[in-house]
Amino acid sequence: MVADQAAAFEDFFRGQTQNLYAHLCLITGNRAEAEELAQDAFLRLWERWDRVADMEEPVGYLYRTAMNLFRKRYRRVGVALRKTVSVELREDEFAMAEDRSVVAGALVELTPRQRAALVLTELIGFSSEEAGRMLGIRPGTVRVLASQGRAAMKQHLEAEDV
Amino acid sequence: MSDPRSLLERESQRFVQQDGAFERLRRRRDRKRRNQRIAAGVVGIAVFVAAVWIVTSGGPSDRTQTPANEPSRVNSTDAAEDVVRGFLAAFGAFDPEAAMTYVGDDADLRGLIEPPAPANEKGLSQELAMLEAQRVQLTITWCQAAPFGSSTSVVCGFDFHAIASDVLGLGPFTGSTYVFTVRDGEIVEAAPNANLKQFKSQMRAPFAEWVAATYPRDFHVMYNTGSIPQNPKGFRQVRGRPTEESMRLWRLHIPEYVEAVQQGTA
Repeated sequence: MVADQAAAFEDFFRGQTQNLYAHLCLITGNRAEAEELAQDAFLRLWERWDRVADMEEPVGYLYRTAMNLFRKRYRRVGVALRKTVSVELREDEFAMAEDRSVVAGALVELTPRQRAALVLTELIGFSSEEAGRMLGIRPGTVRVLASQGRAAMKQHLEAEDV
Repeated sequence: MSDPRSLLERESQRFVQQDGAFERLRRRRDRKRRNQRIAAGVVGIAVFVAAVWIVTSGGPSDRTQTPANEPSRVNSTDAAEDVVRGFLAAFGAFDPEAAMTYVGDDADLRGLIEPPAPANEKGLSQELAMLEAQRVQLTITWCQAAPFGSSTSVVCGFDFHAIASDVLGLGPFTGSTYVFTVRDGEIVEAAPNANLKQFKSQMRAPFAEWVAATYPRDFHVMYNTGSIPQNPKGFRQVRGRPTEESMRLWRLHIPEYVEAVQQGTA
């Protein structure tokens, strides 16, 4: 029974980890941070797998957990920044990459919240209500952020003539 | 131009996770379990050591300087003390969001949060709103940090005012401490050891008795008790009920109580 559960979790992990990691890369702009967030999120699911496995939408729960961790991390960084300027922030890889793609060039112009709203609704297909619950903001705010993200992307891509 | 979805889809394919992700997750889980086992033992010992230290050092009333020849504390204990002081500054300013930035994900805050509020940010938010409504003012008087196993134990003394005791010329109420366990720069456990003896007799019980006599209906909203106590000892034990309506009544009645005391009618 326990072995079955462990195997079921491992299957779930292998089926979802690449997607979650890639989506978190798009949101955070940083591979190391995306890896940490993804691992933390999966670890939390693993610890509660006996309940999560029975859920209708374990993938939704996974993303909610990951987004909670993302929010917490950015809030911490925000508060720390207000307290001190010496906080070492991980650099945004979108901004650093010399060979970045045109899309990455567009993403770097967005805030992490705009990226999150865009990725959750546009790419993954969550409703603005679901995304709002994940990000701790109102559905209307999600729509505004996603719309701002789309507009900024469009503007950048048109300038690049993509 | 392609639509945003297909562009994002294409971009996301650039990010390929390194092999061995499940092994990394397994190691992370094992590390966490090991730390939790260590923490369970360390926390109990840390509280004991803190209690012994308070007794043997004269406790919070001991404001003497550290001897010059005492070995200086290592950076990790200084850092842990900074974390705790940051938390207490936010706690004292009733800012749960800032306070939680000093707290680990799996921290045990049950000591700080009155049940049935949950021991998480929501519960802390509720607790702080209640303390603010009761006009609690904390003054941290000292902190002492000591390494303990993989953690650091930090004990801080505090004085406090509440229910406008400062306006009435009573308090501050001294001799209380918080005991924290800090690991990896985050608080993983916190518990108060409040000295409420004087506060109960000078503020809590007289105010509760005044509310019971003046606003008996409000008493049941403001306090977590089934019935109005029948003796002074019972009033010393009553605890505030952390609901929105209760907090509104605390904010409303404290100034009225102050006025009544100043006019000699309470």
